[in-house]
Amino acid sequence: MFALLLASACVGCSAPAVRTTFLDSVDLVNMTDRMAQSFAGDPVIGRRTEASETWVISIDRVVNHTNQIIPDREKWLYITRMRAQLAGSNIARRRNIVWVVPPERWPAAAGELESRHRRLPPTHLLAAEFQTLTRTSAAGRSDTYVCAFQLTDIGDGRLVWEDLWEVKYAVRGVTWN
Amino acid sequence: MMRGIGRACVTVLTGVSLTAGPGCSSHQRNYTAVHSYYSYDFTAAREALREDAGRNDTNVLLNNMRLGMAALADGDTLEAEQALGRSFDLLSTAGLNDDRTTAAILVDEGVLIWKGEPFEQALSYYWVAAFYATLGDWENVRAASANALFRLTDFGSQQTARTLTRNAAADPAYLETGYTAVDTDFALGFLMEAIGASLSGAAGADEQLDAAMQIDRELAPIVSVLRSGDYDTLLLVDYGKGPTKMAYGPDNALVRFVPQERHHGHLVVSHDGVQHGPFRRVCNVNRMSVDMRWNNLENIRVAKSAIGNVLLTGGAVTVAAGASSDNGGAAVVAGLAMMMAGALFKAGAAADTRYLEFAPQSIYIVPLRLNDTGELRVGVDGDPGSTIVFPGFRPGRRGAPQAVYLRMHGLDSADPPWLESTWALYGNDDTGVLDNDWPWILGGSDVSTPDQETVEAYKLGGYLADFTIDDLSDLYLAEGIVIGAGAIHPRTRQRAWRHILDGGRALYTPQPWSMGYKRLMYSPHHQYRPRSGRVRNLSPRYGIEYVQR
Repeated sequence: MFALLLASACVGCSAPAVRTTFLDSVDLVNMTDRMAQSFAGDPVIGRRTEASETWVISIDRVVNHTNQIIPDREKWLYITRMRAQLAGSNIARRRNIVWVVPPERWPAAAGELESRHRRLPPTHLLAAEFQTLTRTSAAGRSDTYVCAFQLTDIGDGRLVWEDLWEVKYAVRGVTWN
Repeated sequence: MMRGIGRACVTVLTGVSLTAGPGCSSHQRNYTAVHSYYSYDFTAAREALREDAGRNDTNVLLNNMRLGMAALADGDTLEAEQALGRSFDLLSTAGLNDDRTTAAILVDEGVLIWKGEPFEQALSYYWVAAFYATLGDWENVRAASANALFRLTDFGSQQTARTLTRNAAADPAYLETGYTAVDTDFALGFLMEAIGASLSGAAGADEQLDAAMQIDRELAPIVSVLRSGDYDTLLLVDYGKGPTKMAYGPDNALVRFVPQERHHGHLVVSHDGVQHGPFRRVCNVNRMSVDMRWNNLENIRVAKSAIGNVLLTGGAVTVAAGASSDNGGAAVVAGLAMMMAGALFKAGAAADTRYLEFAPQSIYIVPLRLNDTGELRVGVDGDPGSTIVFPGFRPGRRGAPQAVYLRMHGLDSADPPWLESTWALYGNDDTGVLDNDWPWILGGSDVSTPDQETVEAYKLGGYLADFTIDDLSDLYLAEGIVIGAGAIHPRTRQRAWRHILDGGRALYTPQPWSMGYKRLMYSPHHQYRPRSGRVRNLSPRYGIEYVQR
């Protein structure tokens, strides 16, 4: 019994662990890797060559419809990392794709994209929308995320490419404890 | 043998007193922070909290909420986002104290990571939402608010702490199974989620407003405006000092929240002399704090204390009986063990009185259609000292309102002159350089961060004619001043948080229409005292002679 009491006293001031059902940096990497692969492997993209008409893809922001706080700078990370993955694979040159950002992001994106391209009028829009289904009970909480990426042709509104990434997280314990 | 038992008693009871001593040493109230906060010096409150908030201990959530609330009022979006973001993650962690509950019951509830009573948690989500509203980030307003709408545990309207304890003593599972999970009555949360959903294009705003109306029919005027979307300004006002948490009863084992201020009037708003409202509050924090559905730990404390008394009494009887019998050694040891456990229970029964001291007693949400720039005056009816004035207030527009968070203290707090001042003393990134002005560090009254526009404005007034942006930036650098502009360039803020007007090393502009901005720009500050020879040598050209100490 004494051991139990001492052990209990020792729990004392140890640091709290954050165990949430929220998306984290690992998800960011997994999601953007998967989406970049999907984009690069899409037949429509695959048919394009260096001689194809240039696609100017504007990086739009992520729409957050989850119950998780995602600060603006983090929303941008989701798409800029995907673009960076594609840039690393040299697909932009081989498929004649140029990446641009909306004017409101020009100051923040300085140095991120090639400056000669930054102000080109976009032909396509890349966007992402995150949704979640949250369930809470006395046993714990779970969040199922569906993160959808879409590339739209601005000219005719045609959906050129889309894919989605799903993940579910659950934690035990009541939310108020 | 009896002498040996006596020694054992001393040894064991000494062990008890040592073991039952203070578990964590950091549960003292931070009176400096509280005093500064309620003196409208949010900057000093933040300084008193920053080190504690960085410590990863059982008060990490409490200290980050305190820091975040002070930074929100102070208009420092960078620190507010950091502190409130960390708080949000911890608030959203289910079972944060799962492995600590036994320790809490046996030793001291202070070993629990402070997560607040449920009403404090719901309010904390509200302040996260309020912060994002001031940034116009309505998606995150909706996300934060959604988390505040958790279900509550209802043990029945007739329940009191005493009857709950009795039931819990009769049935150990009662606290886990004896309640009904009921929908929240947190109308403030529904209103904020509706605002966030509506302005971010998410679904569900009408349903959230319906839910708020079901809880409180008197919200009809506000709900009507929110439903129409016809507003360009959103006031989020915290008023007064919230309830304090006090221990009472046997062994100070019980806690209750006690109102500190009872005055609550309607919010009175005028814009260029035109009256709006009055507006009634949408959240009564005093009432929430005493509602059993919004509290959850009191019962455990009561049970602990009761168990402690029983064990101590039982242990003493066993020791006495054992000592008086020939073969009582085993009984004595058992009795001592019971006494030790009882003393530990009693030592731990002292209630946890940590709470969020910065919580207000009343919260107002006011959507307004102002249309034009003008003088905005906001106060609480019956408390003239609470009135704050923003001359030249710029509303937003329909669909993108300007949200303003105001922290107004009650009747027992000071009312500094800057609250109602209509004369801005310093130019900054929001106002631009005032006519014929030059940098404050050279004797002028401008604290704008250097950019092309700023330098051109100085030159137009006949100052710094031969200066480039780099020259001006170098001048600040020579003074050890960190140039930043709040959340716009957060990286440049580094660790310099206090503004140069306040004797610090940071040059930035707090969020306009915040309390911190009003204090900084509308109250006189001491003349700048240069550190570098460059500024000392340059300043006489602008009519300023600095005296070197």
